[in-house]
Amino acid sequence: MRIESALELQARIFSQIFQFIQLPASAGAGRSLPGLFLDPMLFETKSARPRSARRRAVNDIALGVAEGASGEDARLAVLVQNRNKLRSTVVDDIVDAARGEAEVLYIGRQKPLWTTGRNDPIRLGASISPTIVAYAGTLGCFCRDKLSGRTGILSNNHVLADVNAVPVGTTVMQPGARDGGRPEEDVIGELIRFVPIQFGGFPNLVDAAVAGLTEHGRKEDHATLHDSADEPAPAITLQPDEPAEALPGMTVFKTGRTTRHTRGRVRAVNVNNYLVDVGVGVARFDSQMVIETDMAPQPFSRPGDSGSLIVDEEGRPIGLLFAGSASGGAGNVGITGANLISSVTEQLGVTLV
Amino acid sequence: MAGTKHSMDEAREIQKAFEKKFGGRKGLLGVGICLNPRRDDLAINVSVSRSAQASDLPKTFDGLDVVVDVVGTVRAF
Repeated sequence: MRIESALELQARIFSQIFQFIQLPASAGAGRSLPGLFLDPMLFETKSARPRSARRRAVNDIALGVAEGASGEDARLAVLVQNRNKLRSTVVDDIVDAARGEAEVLYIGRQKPLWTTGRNDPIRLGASISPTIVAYAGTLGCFCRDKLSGRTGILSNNHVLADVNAVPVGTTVMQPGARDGGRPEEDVIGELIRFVPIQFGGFPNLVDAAVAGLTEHGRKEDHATLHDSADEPAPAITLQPDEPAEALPGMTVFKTGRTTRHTRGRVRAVNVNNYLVDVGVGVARFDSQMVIETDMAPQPFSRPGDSGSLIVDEEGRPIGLLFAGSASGGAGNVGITGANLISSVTEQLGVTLV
Repeated sequence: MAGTKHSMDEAREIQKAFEKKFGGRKGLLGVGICLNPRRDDLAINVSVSRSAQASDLPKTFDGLDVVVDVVGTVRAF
């Protein structure tokens, strides 16, 4: 079948077998797209008295489009998370609806990344955000605010302060909003200070902010960068009081919310007039470093990794990740931009702990 | 990095002169210092969004190679 036919088939199965309801605005709009059919059960989570979810035959089944067999463009992919569902009548019904042009795949239970879940202990690299935004970034490391003496967490201005927009004192949660963090139970701190990002050609040195920890009832792991496993294991021990200088060709590591633990290589240092689109405008950064992946085709970082602490092989801090691109560098999978950690600690007035 | 022909300080001076001459050019996303392709010396690193934006830059400048990286758009992550 053609890809368009596979998408229309998905929509028909969502409607007829899954009994999803069509988004009212899209009804009668001509072509049916699968994304316009919604599970009515998912509307219930915010009701005052949510009904307990019924067990449904279609639970644990996702639909996709797979490569077609024998010269066809596409066929329906039926992705099953529960082994018992592989030989169920509902899967048979779906395959019948596709007139046999379907591939049934067991994909197992899909777990969220450890970085995006609620971390206890709170780990370096975990998802964070202010409670009043819709995104998530990364907790870089723990630090001490020199002015107040408070222990805090280090990340970017554009993570903790949404580019100069979040008021000081705003609560910060782990996981971040994009990852299901809830202001009622996941608050770990409050914004103390950020270095304003300036526009109009002003040479910024850092995209940095600090949030003071508040009573959160969880343990804290200040010293370990964990690996990417679902059950994270220690990868590198941080040496917070021994910052190192970035040099071209140097091997570096980070653990972040989106791509977890990755290895990269310093592509360029002393990068000036580095122009970064921060959402509300393009800002200029000076004295930056640019990093490329050392494990292509996996990129060194992706959106959501902002705020990650970058360290060398010995765990000595080097930089604070804040930007990147989707192309260029080794493997053409994108480059990553980072502030010097020495500029961050100096301009923000913190020491790493 | 060990044993490059130019020192980091020398490369910084050459980078300054390069930025003075080419820094204001439209389409340049950043100018820094990297290793040359043979990895035996430092080089001027220029990031641009599209290759055409670097087509008239010199191949070398004051004894350092000019290495151009085409990186698309750089945005906050």
